[in-house]
Amino acid sequence: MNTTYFKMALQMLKSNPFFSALSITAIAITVMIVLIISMQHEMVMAPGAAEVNLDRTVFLSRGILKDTDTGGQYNSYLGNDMVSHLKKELNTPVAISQWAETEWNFVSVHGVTPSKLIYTDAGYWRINNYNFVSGRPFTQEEVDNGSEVVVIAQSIARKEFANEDALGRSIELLGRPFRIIGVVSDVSSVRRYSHGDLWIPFTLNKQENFADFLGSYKLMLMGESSKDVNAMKQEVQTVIRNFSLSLPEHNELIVPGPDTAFEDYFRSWQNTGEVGFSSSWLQIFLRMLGIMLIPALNLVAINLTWIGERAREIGLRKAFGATRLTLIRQLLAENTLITAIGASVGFVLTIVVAHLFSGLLFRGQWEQAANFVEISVSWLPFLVTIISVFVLSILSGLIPAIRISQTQPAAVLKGGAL
Amino acid sequence: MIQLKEIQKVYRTKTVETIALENVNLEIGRGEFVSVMGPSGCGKSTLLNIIGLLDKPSQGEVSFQDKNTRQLSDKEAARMRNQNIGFIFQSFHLINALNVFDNVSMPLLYSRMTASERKTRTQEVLEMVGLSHRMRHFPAELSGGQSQRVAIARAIAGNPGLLLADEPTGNLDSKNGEDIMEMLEHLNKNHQTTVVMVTHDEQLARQTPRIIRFFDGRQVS
Ligand SMILES: Nc1ncnc2c1ncn2[C@@H]1O[C@H](COP(=O)(O)OP(=O)(O)O)[C@@H](O)[C@H]1O
Ligand SMILES: [Mg+2]
Repeated sequence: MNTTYFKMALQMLKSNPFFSALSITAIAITVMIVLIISMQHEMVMAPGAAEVNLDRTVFLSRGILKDTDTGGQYNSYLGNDMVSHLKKELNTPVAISQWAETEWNFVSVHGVTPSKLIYTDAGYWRINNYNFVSGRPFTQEEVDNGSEVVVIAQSIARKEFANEDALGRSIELLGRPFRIIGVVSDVSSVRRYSHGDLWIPFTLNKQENFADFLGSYKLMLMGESSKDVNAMKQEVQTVIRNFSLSLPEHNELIVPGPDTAFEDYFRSWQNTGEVGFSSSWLQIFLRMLGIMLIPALNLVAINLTWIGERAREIGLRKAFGATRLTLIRQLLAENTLITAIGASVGFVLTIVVAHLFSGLLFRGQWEQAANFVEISVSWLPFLVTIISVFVLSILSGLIPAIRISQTQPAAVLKGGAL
Repeated sequence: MIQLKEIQKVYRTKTVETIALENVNLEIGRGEFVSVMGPSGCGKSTLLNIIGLLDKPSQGEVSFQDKNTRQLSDKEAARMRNQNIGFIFQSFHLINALNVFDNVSMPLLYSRMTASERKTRTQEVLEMVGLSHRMRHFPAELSGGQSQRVAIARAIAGNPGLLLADEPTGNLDSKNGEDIMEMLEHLNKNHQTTVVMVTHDEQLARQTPRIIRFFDGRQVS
């Protein structure tokens, strides 16, 4: 399609300013809504920031212990015994990490800071790739010894020590002093596996409830590459089955997963427990479709109402020498132009709205010190949206217009000014 | 230039069938100025639309410059409308959102002119109708007389041999009507443009060498 059609299309846009503005707005809003919603998911589960290894990591977060005698059922995170058993038995993962998160009101001379305290191990720092502003993560040795060392988020460091170096200073946690050995950049608060404020060795965690099987830990298992994901899934289930054999007759242990980041996210989203995930993508797709429906219908309605108005213009252009093919190309160019402008406006709008209302749109599960959201847009949803909007506007705008271009001009040129 | 043979035009809707034209035989020569008269609803507009290739007859043959128009492809018909025919409507039919210049140059967009040729030609015809100082104005800012002059400029921009005017003065006062009439006469005399004009105005019609009268879809004189 050569440029003259775009010049003609530009003229057509000019000749219908109200319609064009309306269409562009409808497209922009559709694009924005779909993008924001996909961002709400993407920013949580796509690899990025500290979570660079998501695609080769699987996650265990829940165990269910049934007692067939009493009919009782415990549903909780995993306990220390089971975690250490898994750590000992699993061969495929190149790194394993157990971690437990708790809310902690961090008190100092600067006041009370509600924060997220994470008990974890050395593997954690291999799987999550934090940006250390200064210092280092804690070592296996420090974990084994239960050393009172802490890694803190930069926002905490700033609050407590302003511009001074936090390294080597001590803060009070669990009623005793901890030595700061590392400071990491804040991680986006919607991140499920890496967001936190304070990290200490898990060996200091004295909160275990059902200390044997169930407790407060989640597990991350990282393979050599994403090819290991299935092997790790199988191996975990085998180990857990063997582990269950050692339980008393009346106990049954179910550990769903391990899940990929996507599955884990979806499980939390759906609260599906043990259910499989074959329908997840389909469900997300249908959800998107449902969300797009209203702005899309709006777009179709705008196009259809305007057809009556367009009819006279199309007839007039035909009366003065436009061929059917020229009109179709012109209308196609016009549609493309409107979609392109609408999509660009929608994109800019998305970025602006995402930043202005980030607190509202992208909420982490916790309210803590490190409360910022890293905004990122991925291209796939953007592309899919643009293509759907384009197809829609072709169906609702172009096809009726083409039909009109095929009728005799006299039929649409009766009375009235354009 | 134009030959109509046994033209019939029937409009069919679900409930009624209107015979708008019945057995019309007509010949209009190159350089003629013809007015078409008759009561409302007698088929004058239908006739003009058929001559101008804006509509097709239900039956009969239309020849334009010795060419039967029935066989014209969409492309050929468009080319003929673009190069040989100019239309003027009672209600002007300007595009409101485009300024005078863009309205007038619209037909040229569909010819093989370059942008600069289009510009020159548009300015030329606007000068001819005395509106070159209103180029950047929009239709809403023009009087009825000015609007119709813009419409004339648009119709003659492609320098067509045939001008079809459907009640061009119908929405204008007599002074403006006279102006428009003068313009059409000027084009007919000095540019050898064939003009077919539908009018209700006996006085205007009497200024033209030939009057065709219609009644109820038939030519009566
Ligand atoms: N598109 C149409 N559909 C149905 N009937 C039409 C249509 N256009 C015109 N007619 C009818 O055809 C007859 C002639 O119309 P027209 O040519 O517009 O008359 P005139 O221009 O002489 O007033 C009228 O009875 C009119 O109602
Ligand atoms: Mg009429």
